[in-house]
Amino acid sequence: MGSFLNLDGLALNAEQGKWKRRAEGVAREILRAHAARVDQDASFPRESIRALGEAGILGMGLPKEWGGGGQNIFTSIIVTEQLAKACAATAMCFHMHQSTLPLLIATATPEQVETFLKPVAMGKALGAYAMSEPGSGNRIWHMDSHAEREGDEYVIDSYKSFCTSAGSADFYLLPVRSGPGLKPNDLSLFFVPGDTPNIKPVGVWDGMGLRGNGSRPIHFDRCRVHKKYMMGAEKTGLSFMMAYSLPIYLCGMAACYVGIAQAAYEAAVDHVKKRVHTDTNKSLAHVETVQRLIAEMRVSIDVVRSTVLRISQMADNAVVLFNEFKSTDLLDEVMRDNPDDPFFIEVATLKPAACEMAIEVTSKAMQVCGGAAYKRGHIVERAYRDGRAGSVMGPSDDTTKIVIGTQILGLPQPWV
Amino acid sequence: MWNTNATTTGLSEVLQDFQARFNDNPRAKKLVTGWDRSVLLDASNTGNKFVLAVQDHALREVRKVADFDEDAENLVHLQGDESVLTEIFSGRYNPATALVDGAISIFSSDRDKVKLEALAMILWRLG
Repeated sequence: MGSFLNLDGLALNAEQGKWKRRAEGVAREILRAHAARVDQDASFPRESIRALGEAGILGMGLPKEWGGGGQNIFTSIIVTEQLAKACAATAMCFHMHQSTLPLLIATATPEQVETFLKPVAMGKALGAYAMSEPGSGNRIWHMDSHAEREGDEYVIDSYKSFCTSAGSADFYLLPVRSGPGLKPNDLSLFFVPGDTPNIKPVGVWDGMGLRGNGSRPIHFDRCRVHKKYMMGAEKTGLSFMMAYSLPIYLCGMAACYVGIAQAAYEAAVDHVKKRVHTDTNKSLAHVETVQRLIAEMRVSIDVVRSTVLRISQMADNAVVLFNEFKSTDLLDEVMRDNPDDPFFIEVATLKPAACEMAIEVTSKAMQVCGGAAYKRGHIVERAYRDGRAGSVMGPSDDTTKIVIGTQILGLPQPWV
Repeated sequence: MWNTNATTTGLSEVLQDFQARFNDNPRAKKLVTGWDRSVLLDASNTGNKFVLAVQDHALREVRKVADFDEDAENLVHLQGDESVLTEIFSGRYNPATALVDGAISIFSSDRDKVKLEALAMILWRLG
């Protein structure tokens, strides 16, 4: 027999294993240590993000020739899951940063790589994706805000309603219409450095969960950026977002919620094994209802997790195909003509599957832990609040299901 | 239009129809710009072999061959039952689906497999 049997079902290669162990180490030593304070104070997890940068994790998704780690979506999903088990807020900031990278790779010119992307690859910059707008909510195919060309610059006037890492990011990836007369989905994409004048975060983020991720509104108040900061060609933004951002965004989002659910599940298992009732002198683990709930949590996590990993591998394959279309200048028209490709629908299923699973699992974890977990500061209490965020994050589970349903029923997608 | 009357039409006729369809599709022609290849269709159950010659961003020739050097340079080799190949090239069976179904095998470089996948998207899915 040439090699070991793989009864784990998921065999990482040596490099993927290295990134997983690196993420586990940073999560254990840094993220876990700061997670409770980040949650309690609703403070941005600076120390944790800095640690991710120093470990090379912030640059892992960019090409090695740029100075990055050269890793794909699958590896980033494995890493995101590990981070989310320790600190969901940090994981979400990392995930949104990661979601900007495939698009930057796909669109960057050699000059853009040299002038502003190499620091990102070296882990010295955190990115944010500023998408949702007050007018259209989580229907991200419709943008009201726009940029106007003035000489060699664009003047961007855009109010984004929820932006993870707002005010703390080193750069923002910003989809807007690149002219006031364009259609809502004729989007252009801008890389906006975080120190650009007139970037104005609005208020403070005081969420129920994910309290450290700074997801407050942000106003790009007539920000001036040089034309060299436009990523890709004008009006091709939606196609490039569909091809290069949506898959990693949905896979990574699911990985965050798998990690949150795992944290609650592991804390619950630990609790019920240690908590002994004096009348029976037996642990909670001996209660049949507890056994059933623990099993249900495990089943739910495993089903979603395996699907997330499978689809993230599909997403990496899709990137190869999209690159083929891009190299022949066909990407934009193929994406526009193919709005309900089965691949996108399959990726979309991850969002409600993982987010609803996290709500179910964290709720059951609280049920088996009882009052101990209901108290402020318990891991399960935090996971319960963090786990509730996914379902309403854009695109909300309800919007996502409508997209899936219209595809199944052969109806046109809302952005066509 | 696809010739989907494959039950009464042989693979040879289906391929002639496919050639016309391919060359009428501007996206397919754009996609194979600079991709000059011989695509060998190898019907494993009947022994029939056809070569599709892609050259100068068009499907230049479809010809039946008695034999073909399977180690030839720039060769993409598709193998499957003749009925499966007929279904594929009459448009009823997406080759990308056929591949994951185990209905055909492809012997080529990874780069060429990606090109075939892209062609499958253009010709079979988008039409």
